[in-house]
Amino acid sequence: MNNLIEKSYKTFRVDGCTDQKTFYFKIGKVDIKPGQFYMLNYNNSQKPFSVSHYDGENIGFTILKRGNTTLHMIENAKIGDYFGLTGPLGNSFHTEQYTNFLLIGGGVGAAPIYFLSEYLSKINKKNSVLFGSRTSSLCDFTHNLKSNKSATVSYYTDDNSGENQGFVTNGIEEILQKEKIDTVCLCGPEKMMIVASEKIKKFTSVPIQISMERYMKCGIGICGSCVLDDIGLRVCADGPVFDYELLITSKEFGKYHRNSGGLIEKF
Amino acid sequence: MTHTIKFAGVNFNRNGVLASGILGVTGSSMIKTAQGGAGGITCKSISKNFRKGHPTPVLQVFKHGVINAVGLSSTGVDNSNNELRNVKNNSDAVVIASVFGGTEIEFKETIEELDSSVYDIIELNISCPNVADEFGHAFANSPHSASNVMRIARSATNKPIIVKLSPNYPNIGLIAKACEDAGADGITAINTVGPGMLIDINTFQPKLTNKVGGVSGPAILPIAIRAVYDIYKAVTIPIIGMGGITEVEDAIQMIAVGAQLYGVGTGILYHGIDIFNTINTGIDEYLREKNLQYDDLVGIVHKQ
Repeated sequence: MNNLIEKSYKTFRVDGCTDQKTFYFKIGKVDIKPGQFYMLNYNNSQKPFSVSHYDGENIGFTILKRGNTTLHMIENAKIGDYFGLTGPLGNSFHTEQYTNFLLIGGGVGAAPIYFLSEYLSKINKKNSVLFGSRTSSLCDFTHNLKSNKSATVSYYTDDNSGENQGFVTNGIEEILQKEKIDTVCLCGPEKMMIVASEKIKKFTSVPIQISMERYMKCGIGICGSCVLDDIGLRVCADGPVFDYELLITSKEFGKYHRNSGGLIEKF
Repeated sequence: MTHTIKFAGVNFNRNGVLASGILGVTGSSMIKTAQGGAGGITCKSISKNFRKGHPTPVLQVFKHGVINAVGLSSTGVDNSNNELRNVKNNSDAVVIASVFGGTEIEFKETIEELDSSVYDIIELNISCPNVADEFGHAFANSPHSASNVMRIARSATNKPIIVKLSPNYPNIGLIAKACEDAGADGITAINTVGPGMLIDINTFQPKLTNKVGGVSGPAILPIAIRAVYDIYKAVTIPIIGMGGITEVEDAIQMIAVGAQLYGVGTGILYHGIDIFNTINTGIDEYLREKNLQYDDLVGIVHKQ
């Protein structure tokens, strides 16, 4: 239950650019697995964020400017400021039974994928990583992954500012032909994840694990803001990682989400 | 539970009720919770028009419970009709539509705009402690205003109406009696206690944006048990007893002091939605052991 009680920590390091920053906190030894998230509260603005880095002592969250809360954090939070942290919350990517991973991170979905790749490389599991973003600077925080010998990393950008131009899904075919992938882990815009999953299904029937995002108020499974239609599962407590085969039975997957007031908004 | 329980003229197949405000935003969520063993499902309080609620953080956990100030966010009546219809069509649970209004007339209008085929019972939420800045004291804090809301709501529907009361008024039995006299078919008790406050010890800021929030969870069980005890003595209409129930023993105590049905909200945080199945099975075992009928247990404390 201790993970449900908010505790505040000073941020001791801030990296990134004007649109996206990574905030680091010294939290000590906590059992955190890739795919899990925290509720971050900065000056009474709170949102869920996936863990993008954890080394057994320090935790990092990579935050993209999207709405008022993230804008407030990115423009105002500086080294020495306190954030309230509640977590780790939710489930995680299944890693134990697999040996060769394809990881795909689109946009700020790169955050949990980065942590997952770090984690897999640490336990010497082979992972091929595809990152897609609108511009290359948004993926700068992942560049050190290339130095891990278990990881192969490729980048795709909309504006051709990085290695390859185009959609992150362009890289899938080559990896599936080259590697004996036994699971795929995805995080990013839902439309991208659907295109990617359909492409993967044409080649192989390996399990596809998808990390979902929905508006959350509590993050701990009781408010009901993030429940998926019609399967009734809570993204915060039953997820955020779900099997693709389960997700496609949800009528909102790739189609709509709900806002803070519970109203439906189409993607 | 092999037999049905009649409450305010409505048959419940199981004796646990999902409390308002928990997993009650969407139809899918309420259907799923009913599958965890809830016999009645109360939706998040519906207001006539869309309400955004308070900015996050709206909920914080402490060692013995939770404080929350969601601030009565609601999708408004039209959307709520659709969500409740989904529950009605896809679940055997009794649908309790919780409604909220800033004025007596708003309660009436909200009920009138609800499609009466999508719910079985109306619950008047006159006891939310988290919107005092906006609306002043809750109606549940005075017998006069509680009975006014009840009387005006009565003219809006022929379905049973129950009233959710606050433990924050010193004499809850008096309020319950005023509601009964104004035509209430049942009482739900209790809403959250307080409000309470939690402080971050590094920033010295309150942990909720709203600064204060209603207290729920194990910490409030004794208050809820006492409140239901008092209400049972004051009225003849049936009671849904809730507040801090997380274990079978808690629910048994609640029924023993007079609750016809027990309710769970924050308890889901500790045991998931299956808490209803667990408690229902536990009650059945207890009754067998004691060689009691369910109806014998309701209010047994008062017969000693």
